[in-house]
Amino acid sequence: MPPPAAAYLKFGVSVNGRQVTLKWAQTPVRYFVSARSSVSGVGVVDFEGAVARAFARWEAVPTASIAFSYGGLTLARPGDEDGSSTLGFENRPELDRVLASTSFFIDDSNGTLIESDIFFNSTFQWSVSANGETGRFDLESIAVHEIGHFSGLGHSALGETELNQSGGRRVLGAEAVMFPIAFASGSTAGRTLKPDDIAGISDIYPTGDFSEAGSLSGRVTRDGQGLFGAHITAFDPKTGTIIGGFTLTTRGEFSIGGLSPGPKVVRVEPLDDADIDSFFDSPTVDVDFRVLLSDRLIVVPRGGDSGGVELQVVRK
Amino acid sequence: MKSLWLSLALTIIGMAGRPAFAQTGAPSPPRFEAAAGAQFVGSSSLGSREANLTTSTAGTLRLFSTSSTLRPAAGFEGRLGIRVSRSFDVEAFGAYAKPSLQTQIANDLENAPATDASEAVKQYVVGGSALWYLPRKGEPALRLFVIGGAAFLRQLHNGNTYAVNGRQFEFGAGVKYPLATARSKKSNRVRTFGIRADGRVQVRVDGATFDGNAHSGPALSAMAFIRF
Repeated sequence: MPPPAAAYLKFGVSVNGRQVTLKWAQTPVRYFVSARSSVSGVGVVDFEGAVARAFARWEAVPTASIAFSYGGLTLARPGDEDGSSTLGFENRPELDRVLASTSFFIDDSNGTLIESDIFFNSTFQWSVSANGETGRFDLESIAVHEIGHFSGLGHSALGETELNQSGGRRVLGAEAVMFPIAFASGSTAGRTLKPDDIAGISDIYPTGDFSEAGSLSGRVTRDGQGLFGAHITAFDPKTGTIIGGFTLTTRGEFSIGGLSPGPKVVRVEPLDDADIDSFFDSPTVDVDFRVLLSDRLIVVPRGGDSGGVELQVVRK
Repeated sequence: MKSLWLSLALTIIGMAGRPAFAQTGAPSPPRFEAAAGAQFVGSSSLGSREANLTTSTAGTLRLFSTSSTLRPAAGFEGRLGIRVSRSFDVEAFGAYAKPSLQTQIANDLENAPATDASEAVKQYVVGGSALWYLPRKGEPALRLFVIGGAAFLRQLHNGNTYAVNGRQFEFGAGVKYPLATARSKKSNRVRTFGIRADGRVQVRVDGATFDGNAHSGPALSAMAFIRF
């Protein structure tokens, strides 16, 4: 039996046997930049500018109240447990497929964040060019993704990939900056938040404007049994937006929040476009089923839930 | 929009208060007409949209495509008319139908079979129209007319959990055929019973549209009427 999963899109932590959404208790969240954040092509000032723009993208979400403030340069390094949230470069050549990573220090009595650090792997080539640079990863794009984690968001599965010759995956397309695999070097497409990201951050830090959003919930089953870890997407044919979620229990239950009211096209797919451990600790995610397009348009009420939607998939 | 319908209603009431004919010894021609019957609302497109992912060059990668339609449906229609002149009536009307909202989903990136997803929609229409009778030719009892109007549209989805409003404009033509006429000695008025058939083009703005554009579709109605 898989452990209780973190809620969709959000990190969760167990406090006294209860699942709590990981989040900052107070905003603005203060962050610092490591004074050693300088690599070829990116000076400290460039770094400060790129991460400031990335933080600003999350702050600009009108339905979320998250806010950040810059505390200045620090001699601390990302990963130091010092009560200060620090961003900076670290040389980690052994992590040859990790562009950047976010770590947390949590108050385990209530699940709130105390500190979160982000390191960017200086083993790779970086750029802060406005239009990107061939062969270099866009610092702002990767910072936008990591700041999503910094704020409490997990990965989204809204993307399609293909295997490349080196055994890694190439992103064909993604509709969330929180997709676990970055676009190829030179791309700046990851700078722009997508509806899935906006729904996620608004779910954790909602403003009053978010109260009109509704949710879509139900179960995914195969041969009458619940399916854990299936990826469900809700497409709005009016706005063209796609928001995703996962089945998070062995009964196959899911709930996708942050949806605009109205009819939705629902699609279920196996979690096979990235490593399972990008999403879940559990090894029991079942990917042996065909993609399903629901034959019902599911209506999301204003500020309410669709009610239980039953989605039955079949083996491949 | 509310004020528009209020003023329309006041116009109709104001016209009703005006005498259409001078009182003489001759029987008074009917001034009011009530009609009720069945309506058939034809299919209308609601627009197409693709579910796209963003590529590394900020282009699009289609996950699947959708095309939505409000399917044909039968319903009810009622009309209350007032004669303004020999060749001109104004009407208030209401209609109800329960069409199916259907979205065709195709071209899935991972080869999911094409699917039609649907849900039932309750559709209410309340509005006003003007009706002009063409000059009589041939069969004198047969009255041909052209009609045009505007209405408030309300569509309720999935057990009334979600509602959208819109406007509906319609124009078309029809025919009325009296079947029987009776004269009241007490009021010196003539009552006429008959049947009526309309064919109209309905143009819907807003409501359950997915692309923000106006969409049109045919509507047919067959009603019995009484003129009094």
